[in-house]
Amino acid sequence: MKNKVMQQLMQNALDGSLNEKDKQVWEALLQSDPQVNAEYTVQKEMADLLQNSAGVEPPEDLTHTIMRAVHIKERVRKSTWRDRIPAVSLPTVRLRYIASFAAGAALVLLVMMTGFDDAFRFQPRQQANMSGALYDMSSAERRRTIDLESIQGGLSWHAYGQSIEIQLSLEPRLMSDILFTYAPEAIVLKSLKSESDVPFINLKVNSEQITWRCDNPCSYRLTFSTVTKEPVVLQLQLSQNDQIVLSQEIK
Amino acid sequence: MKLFFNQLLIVWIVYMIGTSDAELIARFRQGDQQAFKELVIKYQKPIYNVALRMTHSRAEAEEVCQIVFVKVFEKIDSFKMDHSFFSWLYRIAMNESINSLKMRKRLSGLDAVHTVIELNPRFELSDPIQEALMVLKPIDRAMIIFRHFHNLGYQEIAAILDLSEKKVKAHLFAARKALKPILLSMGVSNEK
Repeated sequence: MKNKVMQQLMQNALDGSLNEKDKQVWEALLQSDPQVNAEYTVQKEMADLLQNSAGVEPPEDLTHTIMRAVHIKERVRKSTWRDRIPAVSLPTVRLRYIASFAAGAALVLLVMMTGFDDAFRFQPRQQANMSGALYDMSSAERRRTIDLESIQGGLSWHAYGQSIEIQLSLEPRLMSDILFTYAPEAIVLKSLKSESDVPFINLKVNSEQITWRCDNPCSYRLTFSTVTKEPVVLQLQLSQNDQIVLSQEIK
Repeated sequence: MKLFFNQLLIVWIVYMIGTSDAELIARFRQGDQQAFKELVIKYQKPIYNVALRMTHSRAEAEEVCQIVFVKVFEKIDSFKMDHSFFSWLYRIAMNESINSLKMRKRLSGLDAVHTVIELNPRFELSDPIQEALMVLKPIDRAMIIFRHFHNLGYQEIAAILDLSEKKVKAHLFAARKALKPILLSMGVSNEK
């Protein structure tokens, strides 16, 4: 008997879909070929064993968790710094184009004068964007305390350089969920430390985001390394109804 | 004639993805958030179970569920109505479970991982069959999960994993064969 036919018969026998004629052929084959018999026994035994495994009930609040994740994702997507720049009149747009062009030209000049490596050596340059206002957090202003009550949608950084270290000091009055998102291909999380011996609650890390729950004043230190010379975007999202004071330091 | 074929196509689409799924997707596409929630309620359990079996971690399974439904939310417009919705969903769940496993491997050297493991023990299920499944290759594990835990047909598995039915059968055969010595080494047997 051809191997292909034998395999088909075995498959049908395992699925319980043998017709009468095939059943007789299959039983005869099992009697005559010990190797086929042994193989079938293993397959049948495993199939029976696996069939008895019951499913697991998901956590009761899974629907809520999923819906919340969807809403957070939607909110983060809508709250990028570009989206939050307020609508402006046409002359302002023109001015912005001219300013962008001038900035670009200055950058090209800088690269030409100093060489690429010097121009792009890591500088602590970031932009934090809150409630539509654009803050340029230059090197002179590395530390800032912000009342997050005034922030709608969270913070985002445009960070340049090889390594980014962020310190968060959070003082929530109520329990708060913290969500950090980052461009998955451009940045890698190297470490995440709680500096106040407060354990992480519901900590989840994947290639795009970190989330945890904070219900005590605590300081955290996050270190990222960038794998590209392009600007990277980091976003921080906190529960909006809580009063949280954030101080950040980007070295 | 054209109208007849259009109606035939609609009937076929409804048959393919099930009336309620088609209806829910259509409602969601029109902006009905409640329809999306109904899809979540309907499919969260099978998706959670696929992810749990694939990752062997409740925390990761929960996370995979979140990612799967976030992706569905974002990409529902690109879903082709003539395809099976649950096959699409299962495929995203499979891919995200595999991504989660890769991420676990990638983070294994980081400081953060120790904290993650302490707080969310990954190997939580004290099921020897699950332990044995984790030894298999992800593709073979997926075959076992879909065929034996979710009772899917070969055609459905083939659609989810984008393989031929023949390959599905071959993988399944090999997976069961590979499982036997692993389970024996753990002292598990179905012999009476």
